[in-house]
Amino acid sequence: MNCDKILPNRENPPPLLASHNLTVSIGGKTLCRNWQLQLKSGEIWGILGGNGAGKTTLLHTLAGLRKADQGEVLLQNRPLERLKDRERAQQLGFLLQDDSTAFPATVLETALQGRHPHMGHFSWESSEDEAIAMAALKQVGLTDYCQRNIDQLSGGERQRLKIATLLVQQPKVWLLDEPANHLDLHHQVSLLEQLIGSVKAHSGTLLMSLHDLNLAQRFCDKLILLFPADEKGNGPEVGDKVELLTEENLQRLYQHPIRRLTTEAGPVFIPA
Amino acid sequence: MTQDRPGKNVSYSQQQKLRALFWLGGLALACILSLMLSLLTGSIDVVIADIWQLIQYQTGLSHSPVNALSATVITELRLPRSLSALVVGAELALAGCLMQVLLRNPLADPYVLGVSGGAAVGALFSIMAGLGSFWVSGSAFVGALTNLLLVFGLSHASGVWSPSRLLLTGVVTAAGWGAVISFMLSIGEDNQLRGMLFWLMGDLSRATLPGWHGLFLLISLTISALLARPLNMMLRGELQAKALGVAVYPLQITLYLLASVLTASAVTQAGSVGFLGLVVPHILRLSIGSDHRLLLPATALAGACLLLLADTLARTLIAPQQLPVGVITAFIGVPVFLWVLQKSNRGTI
Repeated sequence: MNCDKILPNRENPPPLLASHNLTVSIGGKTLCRNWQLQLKSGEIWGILGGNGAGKTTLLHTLAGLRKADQGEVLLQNRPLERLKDRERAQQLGFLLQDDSTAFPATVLETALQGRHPHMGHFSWESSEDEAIAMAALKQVGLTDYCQRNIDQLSGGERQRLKIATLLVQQPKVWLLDEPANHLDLHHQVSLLEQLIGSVKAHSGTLLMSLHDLNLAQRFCDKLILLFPADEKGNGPEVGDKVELLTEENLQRLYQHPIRRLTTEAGPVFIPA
Repeated sequence: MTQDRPGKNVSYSQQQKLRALFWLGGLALACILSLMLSLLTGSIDVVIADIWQLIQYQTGLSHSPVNALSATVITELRLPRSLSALVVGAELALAGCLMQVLLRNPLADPYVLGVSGGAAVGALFSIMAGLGSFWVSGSAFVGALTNLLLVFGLSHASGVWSPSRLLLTGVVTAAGWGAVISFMLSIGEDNQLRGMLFWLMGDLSRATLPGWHGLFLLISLTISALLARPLNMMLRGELQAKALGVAVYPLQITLYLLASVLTASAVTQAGSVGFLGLVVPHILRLSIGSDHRLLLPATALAGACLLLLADTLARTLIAPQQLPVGVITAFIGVPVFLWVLQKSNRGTI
């Protein structure tokens, strides 16, 4: 047995989430081939790419919601495939891009669902669970709505409720598919700040897909630029935000010229 | 914490438990009252004192003689039929509720995947062959299980499986059974048609003591208590449920099998009683919300109560003639459902 893999090493802690020789393809298009990725404690990651570049597919694969074509994803050094859904959900939380409400439920009930992976089979939510849910609803500004039905919420409010559910789940690894969707400018900034605050407070790691380059510039440490993979060895580019956010890279990524302006508040990106 | 939440010292979960106790207690009481009403109503007069004496006699508390006629009417006629109505009602309502979550479709009912169609073909075949009620029930059960395996196999055949595939496979299979039923009705002899139609509408007049059906209902209720919280997650979508740690595929298979066998058990006893399995879950959802820990047992109790009341009406309304209970369930169910829908502020279903 390889002990290095199992015993924690203080100087060089294992990544919270890693891909090992990962190949993902969808509809005949390959997103990545034999790909290695390591998300470490405290790191905030962004995925950038155009429509249909495969951001959601890649995130779903990393979260174990979808099978990889080849290779494996390791959650704290354990292959995701061999974990029970419940064990995985205790460590890894996912913000889905869309939600559906075929049946009624209240805001508080929905937020409390984040406790599910942490509760026993027959147990009911404790007052502690309730306090966690109420705190999360307060963070996203939905306290006054807690008895309201979710189909009475606006798109942005619903997005905030999804974020609250994730805060209630308190995972180590946070994977977010377009968290800024439907949010107004104030909530984009304040909710991402709070999410990242939570992630860092629990020494977790976060990976989110974004369309807004300025949010990526502001909040991410590291980036994945999702270039299509081909036989010549091209594929997603991974690195520090400072190196990757260049006009040249972005133009190649979005097939559209993008200007990088230097301002007092830092670099700003606008489409030409 | 907010104006909506009275009783600041009572936690949310305590509040939920009290609510559950209140609703389940109330519905259980309604079932007991319906049972009393059913035992007391009919062409031969039975009074409460007779029932009380009989209970005391049966439990050995008293040895005073009981009214022999009343005792026979209760133990031989009304009690088996009433208990059967309670079990069938609970099974259908529970199956409907599970089906609606499995298929994520508010229009789903226990029969949508063809279980009753398969059962009907079996039952009608036995009726046409002139076989007794044991064979009618037996062949109905075999027909229901045939459908269960057929739909399950067909929906898995291509390797891709999803609830919408299951729904389409089931609906089309049900339509196939429907054609066979129409064929059988059109070639059936006149003296058999009445029996066949009563079976199709749902009829408890052949019902005997529920026996293993009752045991199966209790087992199903226990299983559904285990499934209740994962079912709450499923309402938010399959992916969301999986993201929150629900093993979605095994859960869906369990739901399919449980709902199908519950339905098979119900139609074996009473034929295809319509409407109950569609409407009772919705009435309860609109009144008490979608937490399945409360919803599933409450739906079972409400279904039991409604079918027993409907059956009591079915055998007394135009006595001595009996109506098929399926006619009455819709007569009661439609206005109750529409009334609850108007009163409800829980938004869309």
